[in-house]
Amino acid sequence: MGFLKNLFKSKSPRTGLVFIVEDNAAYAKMLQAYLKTNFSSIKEIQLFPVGETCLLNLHKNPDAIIVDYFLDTKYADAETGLEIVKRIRVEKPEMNIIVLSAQKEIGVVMDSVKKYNCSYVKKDETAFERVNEIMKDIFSIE
Amino acid sequence: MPEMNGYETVDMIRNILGSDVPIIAMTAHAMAGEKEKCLRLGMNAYMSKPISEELLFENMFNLLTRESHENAGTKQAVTKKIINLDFLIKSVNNEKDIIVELIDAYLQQIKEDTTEINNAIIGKDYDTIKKIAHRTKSTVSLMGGAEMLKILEEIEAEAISTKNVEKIKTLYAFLKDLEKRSTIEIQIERSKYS
Repeated sequence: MGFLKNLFKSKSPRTGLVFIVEDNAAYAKMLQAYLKTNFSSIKEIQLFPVGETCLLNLHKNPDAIIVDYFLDTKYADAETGLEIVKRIRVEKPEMNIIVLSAQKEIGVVMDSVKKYNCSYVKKDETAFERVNEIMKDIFSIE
Repeated sequence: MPEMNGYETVDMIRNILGSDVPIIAMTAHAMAGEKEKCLRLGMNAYMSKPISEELLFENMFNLLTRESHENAGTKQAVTKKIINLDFLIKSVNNEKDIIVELIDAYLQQIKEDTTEINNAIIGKDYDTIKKIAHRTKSTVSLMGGAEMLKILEEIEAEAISTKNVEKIKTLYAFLKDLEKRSTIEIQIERSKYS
């Protein structure tokens, strides 16, 4: 995971804030509960069912943003997770972004998340543990 | 029955879904040959109305004990659980309040998911069927709903490739049945934590 440390090198102070951008409310809640239970450095986790509302809150400087790859089931006009990632990158080039996806063909997802310097976690039974590992890396950087 | 009669239903269950779930024919047709027709189509027992309670229980008992006997050791038991909360419970260190909260979130989400899939099926909106089926996979995986997950994958694949709405409808009926059973199961689990 050494490359992550270089990737996520950031000078801004930790806020203890994490965003979860996910249109599946149950999944978002579950991940929120998991991180709260297992990760004491996280003080607050905000959930956004629509990516655009997350963008409006970027000034709060979260330590990490977890984004679902698709994200467009709530409103037909809502942007996909990938589009949200692009926009986050424009505003916050240093942001730690973790992309979640239940995609079977991960090749397409991998290509696009690599392009935008994101970590990728497949939504399977070990997904939460891997998010936890990435969080540890993010929060261990001073 | 409206939309699909009993013969068609049995054909779907046996030949399309490939399920050997016990089926008891129940009919008001007292015509000769009716029983044979039902059995030939793959039903396991036949009853004509008015239904005798005793005969019904006898049929059910025979079929269910036969089933569990045949399945012993090799196939899944008839009363196989649809959900498995081990992952959820472990994820939140067995914290009861959170478990109840997450169960409630699931119950609400799965209702929303299945309703949206159904609406999309009615509108033959394959893109939405695909998207919602995909989203629902995350919902059921949280509750260890392996069987539901498999059906959702099939629905998603059908919506992408063949766009066969009848097949999707059948899969959805199967999903809806599992969803109902999962809801009952999960509410029993919930009562242990609240």
